[in-house]
Amino acid sequence: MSCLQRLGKALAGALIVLALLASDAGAPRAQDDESAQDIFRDYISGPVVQSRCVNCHVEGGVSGHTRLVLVRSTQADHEALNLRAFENLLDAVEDGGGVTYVLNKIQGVSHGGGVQVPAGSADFVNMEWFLGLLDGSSALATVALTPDTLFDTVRLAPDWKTLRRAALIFAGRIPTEAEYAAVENGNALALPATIRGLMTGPEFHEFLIRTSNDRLLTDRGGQIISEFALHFVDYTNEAHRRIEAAGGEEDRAFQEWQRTVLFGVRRAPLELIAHVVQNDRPYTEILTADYIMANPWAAAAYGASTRFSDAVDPYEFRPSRIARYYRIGEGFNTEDTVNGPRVIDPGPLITDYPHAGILNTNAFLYRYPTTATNRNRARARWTYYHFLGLDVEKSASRTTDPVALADTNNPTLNNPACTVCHSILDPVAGAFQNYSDEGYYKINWGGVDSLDDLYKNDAGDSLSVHAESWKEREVLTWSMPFSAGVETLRVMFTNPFNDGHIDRRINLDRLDVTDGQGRLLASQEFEDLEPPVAHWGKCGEAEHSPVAERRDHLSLWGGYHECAIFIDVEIPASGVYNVEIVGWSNGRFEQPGTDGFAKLSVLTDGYEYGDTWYNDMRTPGFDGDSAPDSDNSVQWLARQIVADPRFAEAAVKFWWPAIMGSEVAETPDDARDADFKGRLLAANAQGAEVKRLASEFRRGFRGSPYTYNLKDLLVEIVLSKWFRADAVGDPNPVRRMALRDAGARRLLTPEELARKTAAITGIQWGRYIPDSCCNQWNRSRLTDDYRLLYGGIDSDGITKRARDLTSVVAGVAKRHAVQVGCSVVGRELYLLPDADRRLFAGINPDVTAANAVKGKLVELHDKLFGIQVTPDSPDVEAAHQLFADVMQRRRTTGDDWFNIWDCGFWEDIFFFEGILDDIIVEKENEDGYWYYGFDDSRSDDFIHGTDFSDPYGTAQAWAVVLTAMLMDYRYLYL
Amino acid sequence: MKRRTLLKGLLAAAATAPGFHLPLVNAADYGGKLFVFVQADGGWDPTSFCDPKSNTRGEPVINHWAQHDDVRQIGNISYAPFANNAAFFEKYYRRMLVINGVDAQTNSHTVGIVHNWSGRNSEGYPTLSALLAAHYAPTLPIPYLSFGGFSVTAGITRFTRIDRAELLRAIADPTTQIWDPSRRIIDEEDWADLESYRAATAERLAATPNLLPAGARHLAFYRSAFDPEGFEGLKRYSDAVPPEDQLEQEDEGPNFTSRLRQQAQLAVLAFKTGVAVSADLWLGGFDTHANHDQDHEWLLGRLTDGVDYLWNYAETHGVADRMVVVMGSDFGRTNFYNGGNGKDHWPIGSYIVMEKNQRWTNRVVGETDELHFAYQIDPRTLRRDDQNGTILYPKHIHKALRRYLGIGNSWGARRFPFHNTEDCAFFS
Repeated sequence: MSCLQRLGKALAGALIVLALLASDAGAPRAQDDESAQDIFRDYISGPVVQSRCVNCHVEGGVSGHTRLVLVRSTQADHEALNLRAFENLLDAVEDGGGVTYVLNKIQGVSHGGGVQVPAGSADFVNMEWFLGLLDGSSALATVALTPDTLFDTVRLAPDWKTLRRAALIFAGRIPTEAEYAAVENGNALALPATIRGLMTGPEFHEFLIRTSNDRLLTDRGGQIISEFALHFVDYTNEAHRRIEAAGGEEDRAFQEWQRTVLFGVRRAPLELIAHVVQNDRPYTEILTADYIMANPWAAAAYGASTRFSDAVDPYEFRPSRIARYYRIGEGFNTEDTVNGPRVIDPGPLITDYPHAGILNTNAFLYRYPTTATNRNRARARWTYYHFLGLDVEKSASRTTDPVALADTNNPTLNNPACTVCHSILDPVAGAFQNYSDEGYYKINWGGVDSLDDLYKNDAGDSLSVHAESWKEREVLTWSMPFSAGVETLRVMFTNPFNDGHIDRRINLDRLDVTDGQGRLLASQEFEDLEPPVAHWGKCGEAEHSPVAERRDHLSLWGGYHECAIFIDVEIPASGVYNVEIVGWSNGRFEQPGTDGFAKLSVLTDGYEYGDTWYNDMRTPGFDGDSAPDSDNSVQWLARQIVADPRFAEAAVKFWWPAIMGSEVAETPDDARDADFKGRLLAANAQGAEVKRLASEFRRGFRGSPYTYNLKDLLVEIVLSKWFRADAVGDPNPVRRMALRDAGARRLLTPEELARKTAAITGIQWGRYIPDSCCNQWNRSRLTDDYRLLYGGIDSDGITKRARDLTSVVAGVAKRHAVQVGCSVVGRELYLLPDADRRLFAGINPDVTAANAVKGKLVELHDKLFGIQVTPDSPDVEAAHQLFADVMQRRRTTGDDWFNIWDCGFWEDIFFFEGILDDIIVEKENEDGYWYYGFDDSRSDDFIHGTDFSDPYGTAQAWAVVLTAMLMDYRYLYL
Repeated sequence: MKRRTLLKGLLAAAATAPGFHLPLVNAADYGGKLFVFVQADGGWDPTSFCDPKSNTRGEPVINHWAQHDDVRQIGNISYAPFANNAAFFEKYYRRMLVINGVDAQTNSHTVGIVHNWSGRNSEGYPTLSALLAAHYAPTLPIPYLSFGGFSVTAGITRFTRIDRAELLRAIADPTTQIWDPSRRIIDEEDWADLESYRAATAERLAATPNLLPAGARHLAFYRSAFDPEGFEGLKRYSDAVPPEDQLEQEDEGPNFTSRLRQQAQLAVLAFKTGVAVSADLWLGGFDTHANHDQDHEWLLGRLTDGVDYLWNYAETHGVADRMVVVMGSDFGRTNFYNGGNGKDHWPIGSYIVMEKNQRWTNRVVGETDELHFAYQIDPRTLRRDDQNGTILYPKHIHKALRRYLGIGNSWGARRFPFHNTEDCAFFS
């Protein structure tokens, strides 16, 4: 029987079971005469166990401490041993739940390795079959709903509706008539082509910037680069020049200049994504770009010679290079002045900056800073999360041994409770080795590294040497925890040079390592070692003792931590050992200090001159490989990441929330959780969709020559069933839970709502022209004052959008609708020529006829909600009733004037666009700050000179109806 | 249709949406307890706070303050003579239960935060604040206030963020002119008609057959959030919030800032005006990997000052007698200083539960050794039991709090249960 036949048979079994379930024919059982051993040998051992499980579940592997420890196929009897391991595991699981336990694990439930065998896959069916046989039962009955059948009862949205929603997302507007016509009359490719056509212009650019920042969170304030750091010498000197020119003041011009530089610096990662996507470059370039995006100000700070089309446009970003970044060392001369630091001579250490796309932009590094003990782990964590789709911290979300977590013997390297994550995380942290806490490249003197001083100067436990002659030589003993394997001992003479109490020499005879029982494990005569060398030269030599004819000890001078001797010792088993050194100092020539003549230290894995990474951590690298060159290990890392299949999947996960409004579903952790089956099904189904999209993304969608083309990926996410789901005719609770977020029905973000309103009505609540850099997008009340109240983020303390409507959010929506509705009606019914109106063409204050009003309401439903209704539909009837009630009330009260002043129309700086030319002028407030506003005398004259009579109350009625529609569920939600 | 009937109806309609349920308690006349959870974000150091540790001979220094000062005690509660602890503990020990030796089972912030504030070390469970809001105040306009930190609701309620209190007025009464609140853009009768039209439209939409779960859920949220009566509450609240210049201002320290006082102020006013029953207050910065003493001193000072302000302000506004306050953090910090005078992550942490006039206060439960390792505890006697006791985990505290606060058998608690978890008699 072939594999395919077997698979077919298995699937057929599953289908039979489903049919039996449907007819309530009793408990189904797979009928087959083969044994668990056969199934294991033919279908499990190779494709599942040896291809996936043994990557971790082997002795010494990251899952070597679990209940399932397997052997590799290099062992002759691996099949029998592994089969036994599965049997033992099923026996060990309480209450006979072994089959479910294993099946959940391979789907990622509480599994550090995540999803290994997706539900519904052929391997999963075979695993069910195998485990059922092994357990003496069959688990096939559990396959009731699968990712493949999940959408069987779901109706998808028609093309025009999908197009409209896509246009709101990508273009911030509703589709044009031509775009609608293209999808309604076109072939199957018309919809994707039309959606792709939306991805252009500033609105798409804004979408890319905003949504990528939702993930990266780099668009926030902060002194990302500082003139005081000196490395960007042009930036430092320009700051100095400007302050000096301003008489020592950081005046407004200086602040504006600096704000614009920092804007250019902080936008670099987001603008890189935008540049790559908008120019149809392979998405991999977001990590591999050998350039940085910069505006003219940032480019100048970098010393770059980038050419811009408009050198005074702070929003123009071009690929640039960090051309004049200097490391600090000999020849780097500065002066501190009252106007700040100035670099007189940057010296020779100009840097060929190893650009690695987003990864070593200052903005990314500054957003995820590090510390002496964090050691780039946060950077590694977020690199994994954003670009490989792995949340390392979540893989630690399980019960762990508190004693193990409190372990102080370098647990991240040695303790299995910690290494399960750190073996993944720490090599990548190491790849960021050259970047300081705040993101500067090789900040230490000489430009050699960015290692923390606490580490470089770590002296460990220093012992005082009291012996002041060979004759009095003494044994110094350290008790130290060692791990099994080779430990490198670092022996250092730690007195500083300027310690007047001691001599500058220490003499070392022999080093012994003994175990707890006093057994000698290793012994080293110091005179047999090469004399140590520090960066200033040799700092020790072998010498004679007074009674010896040959050199019999090593004499060190110089102190400091660089002058150290390294000795490798083979340690048979982890434990506490004694290190003993025989030595003395030349104290007889000096006055002893209070605690002896000299200090000697022994530590393991300490700093060695020339190191660029911490010796007590894993080697910089990725996924088992070491970075070949420490100078550009992040560049190397970037290449490894984009070559990893997970990169494409991570890209799907990165962009999915921007469209769907929710993260890709994750596998639930506990089978006892409420709605477990539905959530697991959602995770499996979305996981399968992510894999499908990622696969096409890698090789090019629909035969496209573009690989890794993000526009194509965005189109395909919109075309997926998860976005296009429109209705479900099935009360099955598992299905409904699995479809919990299907259809991407979500509250528009404040940015999306502001853009939508501006595009449809021509009015934006509180729109203004900023009087300074750098507020490119947040130019309205919704996106500025009310942004957080409406669920937005600040990329700092509030980093996740609040997507559920509350009364506060609703209040903002109401205020938005009231202000906009009134202004739109005043503008269109009284000020704009009919041909220029967006919503009320053909409507004037004297139009009262029901058919005309209903006709307009039909149009408004189309424009505002994207729905086609008829004049006698319930929607139009209800809206017309509201219109009529308001109009009637007006006529009753005799109020015959539309008071446009009540609308607060002046809150939109573009209110008079197309009405009054040159109405926007620069103005100065009482504090001397200038801003943009109306030429008040002209605008007032114009308004006062306009007839706003509303004899029938229709204008007010339209304002009320439009306000109601602007707060309608269908308007506020995607 | 009366609002109560309407809300019941719309929530019932949404009951088929996953994660939604019919309210069991009507919140309109709610006069029960009010809940504040104070999240000290980043991992605080209990050994310099409520689980004080002196230095142990032969071991690395655990606390610098212990080199020249001794652990203090007031009532039955020990505390560290550090920051502004003395004033705080001496003032509040009678309304305080300290739970020490709680093992977060992780050194990861993400997991520690999830664990301490939801009771489980993996995602998926709501905060206790959310459970309480969902149970006691499902129909209030903003039942659950979150000022930052972990505020996952798992779909059982919604949280509200308030960052610009001065804007509340403009949104609580959206038809008035911002520049002249005496004038209306839409007059009241027109607005009432508009609201009726809007509500009827939403009701019709909610009755659409075959809605997707997300559509049903969002429509239910929409109808609830837009409810005019809810806006009456919001208006009461916004009227109670003082002008911007009278709100508590941000406290700026050398390295961090605190808005804890303002958060407390806004929470108390929400309680007083009956629009909320639970609030998460948040103060970040406790992740002191360097300069631990300096930063922790400032942060603990702001933390205790903020909670002190909370109680005082609650007293002023007459809600202190109903308030339950829970303080906690991601986990603790190491029992030694690193090379940068900082302290790294340590899985053992503490909670402080505060309430007035309770017999379970002025007590410390849970125990750690001199190096801040947790001892096993007998859940019944709460005494140390090295043989048969259990290490305390956040789930024990959450389970006990759920029961004590009256939601142990609520729909939410049953939906998010703690399996294999002993009942600890913290509140008896």
